[in-house]
Amino acid sequence: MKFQSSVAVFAVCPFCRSTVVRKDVAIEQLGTMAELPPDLSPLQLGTRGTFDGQAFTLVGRVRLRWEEGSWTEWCAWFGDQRYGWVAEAQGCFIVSFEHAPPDDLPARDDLAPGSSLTFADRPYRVVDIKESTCVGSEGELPFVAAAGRKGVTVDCMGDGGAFAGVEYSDAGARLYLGRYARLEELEATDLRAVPGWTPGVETDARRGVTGACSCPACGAPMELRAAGLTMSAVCPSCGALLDTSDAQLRLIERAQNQQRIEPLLPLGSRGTLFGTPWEVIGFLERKDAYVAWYEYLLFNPWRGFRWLVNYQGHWSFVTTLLERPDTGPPDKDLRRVSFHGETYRLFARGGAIVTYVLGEFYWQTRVGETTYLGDYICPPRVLSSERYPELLEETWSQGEYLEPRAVEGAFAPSQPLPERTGVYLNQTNPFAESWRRVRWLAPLFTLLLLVIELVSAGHAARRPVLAGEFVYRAADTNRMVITEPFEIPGGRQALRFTSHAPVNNNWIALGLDLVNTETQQTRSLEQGIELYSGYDDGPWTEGRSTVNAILPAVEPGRYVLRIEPTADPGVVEMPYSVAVTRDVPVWSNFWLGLGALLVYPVYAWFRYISFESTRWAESDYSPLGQSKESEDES
Amino acid sequence: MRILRSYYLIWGLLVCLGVAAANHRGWSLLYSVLPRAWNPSTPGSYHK
Repeated sequence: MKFQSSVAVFAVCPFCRSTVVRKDVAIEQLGTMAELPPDLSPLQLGTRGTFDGQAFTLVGRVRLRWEEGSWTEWCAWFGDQRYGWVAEAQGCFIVSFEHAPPDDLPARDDLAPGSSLTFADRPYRVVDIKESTCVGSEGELPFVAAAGRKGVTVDCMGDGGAFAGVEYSDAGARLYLGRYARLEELEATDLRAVPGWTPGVETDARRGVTGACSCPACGAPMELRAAGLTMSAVCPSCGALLDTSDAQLRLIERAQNQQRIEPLLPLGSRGTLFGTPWEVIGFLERKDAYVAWYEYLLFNPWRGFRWLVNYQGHWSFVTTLLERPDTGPPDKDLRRVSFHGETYRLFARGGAIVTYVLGEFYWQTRVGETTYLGDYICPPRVLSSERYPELLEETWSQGEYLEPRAVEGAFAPSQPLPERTGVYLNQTNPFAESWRRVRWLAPLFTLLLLVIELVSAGHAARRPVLAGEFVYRAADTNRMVITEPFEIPGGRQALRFTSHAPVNNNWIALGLDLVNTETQQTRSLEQGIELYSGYDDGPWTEGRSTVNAILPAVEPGRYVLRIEPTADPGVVEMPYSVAVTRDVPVWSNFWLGLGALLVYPVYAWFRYISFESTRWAESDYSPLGQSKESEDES
Repeated sequence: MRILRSYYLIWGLLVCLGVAAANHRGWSLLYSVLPRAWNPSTPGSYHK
């Protein structure tokens, strides 16, 4: 055997599976290592990649198992006495390097999820604590990784996807610092051909890769679609829950009586979303106190796992986050979450229970499993926190709303997908974009209009051209009055007619004819003056003793005003006055323009807020003042 | 949506220009859009 890395002290012979330990120049054989379970990982010994600009080669791997699953740690040789680890779990990768643990490293029993730790001047938060057992290894490793080696792993997350892992074992504590990464970021080459996915490697080969594929409960043939990367599967025939991390598909529990639910997207169907082909490998139904929804687990060997969440015809594409959003100080009532510059508002939280399971999953999910969920929305995105109290784990994921036709187009189900009903929590508000744009333009135009009107009003001359006082007498046979001529100079302009009469529980009406003395063109208007008052459950008045009217666009020229008064039959005599002012501002233009400017923004706002009201009616935390809680109380 | 913004931009500018022109000429846009029965003072009531 030839050791590639100078730091390797342990190796598994690729031919006979013998395990050897290097002691100086001597090699000591320990025993043999069982064959590792087959999997669909795209990585293999010899895979090359880069991390932060440094090239590495995968030279060994350790398969670790914990109570509810397993994961793989790949030993990456960076050369020059330096090695790191590429952890592969749930379809994502963590690249880390061993560091000397601080002197004040807390004991394992002093740590719990949520505990704060500081490594290399960087804050971390414990997210997961689990006991692990080495189930096998291959290649070269810098320590003796014999099967059965036990330890306690404490996983911590820091800002920006930073990762810290502390492994407590009989040999002491080891500290690993690094960060989360996607496979494409590692620029990996020399990847393994993945059966059923890599062109030329047919799906049938997958059966050979995954070994025994029959249900130990009922004997029905089974196909594992993400072997080695999933932890459990439910037999499609009998519903038994099987442990897929065990090459022999160990039976976890037999099926409980449950009504069969046919997924809208059958297991095994493939579709391309966001440019990546995905295969449906799992399906589950969850319920909270109010509703039920369905979750489809998608798998791609190079991209890992994603989820499609389906609720009443609505779909969301969900990705597990590699970094924790900014949730502010711990122990605070979390109503807002920040992530990548966006603020997400709490929509719902509470317990949910798994009520139906089918297919494969990367943890041992089963009917009756409860989780505590929190949904924070920033449509079309949603951030969801998922806490498994019994597993001491909290994960965050981000969902993006998908139009149903996008799902239908991608997976081409045999039956059309059901029409969506209602408004989903992260559904795109179709009026948000138009409202967002006009809500800035409308105030600008309103301001511009106001400036225009104020400038116009400021330039108006407001010159009186006529002021006359007259008397109405019922006894007169000819009550018509013709005023002295007056001049309207300049261009077209608006005239204001102001009439006044001391009316008191009666009325007088003035028929006004503005006559151009040169062209005899006449423009008419009528001004009614009335004022009534009385006492009905209190004093009241109605009407005015002075009225105004605007006559717009009057041509310049010489005019007389012909006045023909009529009055309440009870009026015998009443004085009245008429005044004419030229070049007055026309404020009705402003109000009409304002209405024309605001009609569409008001419509857009109404549609926008109606949509949001429907959305938030399903929430207990509505910012709009209405909520499911208040409806329930009513 | 970009088209909508353009339409609203054009509409807003037209409204502002229309009001500015009407003010300059002493027109009443309101009277010009009201039915004649409601507005005996429109230019249409010439030559009584």
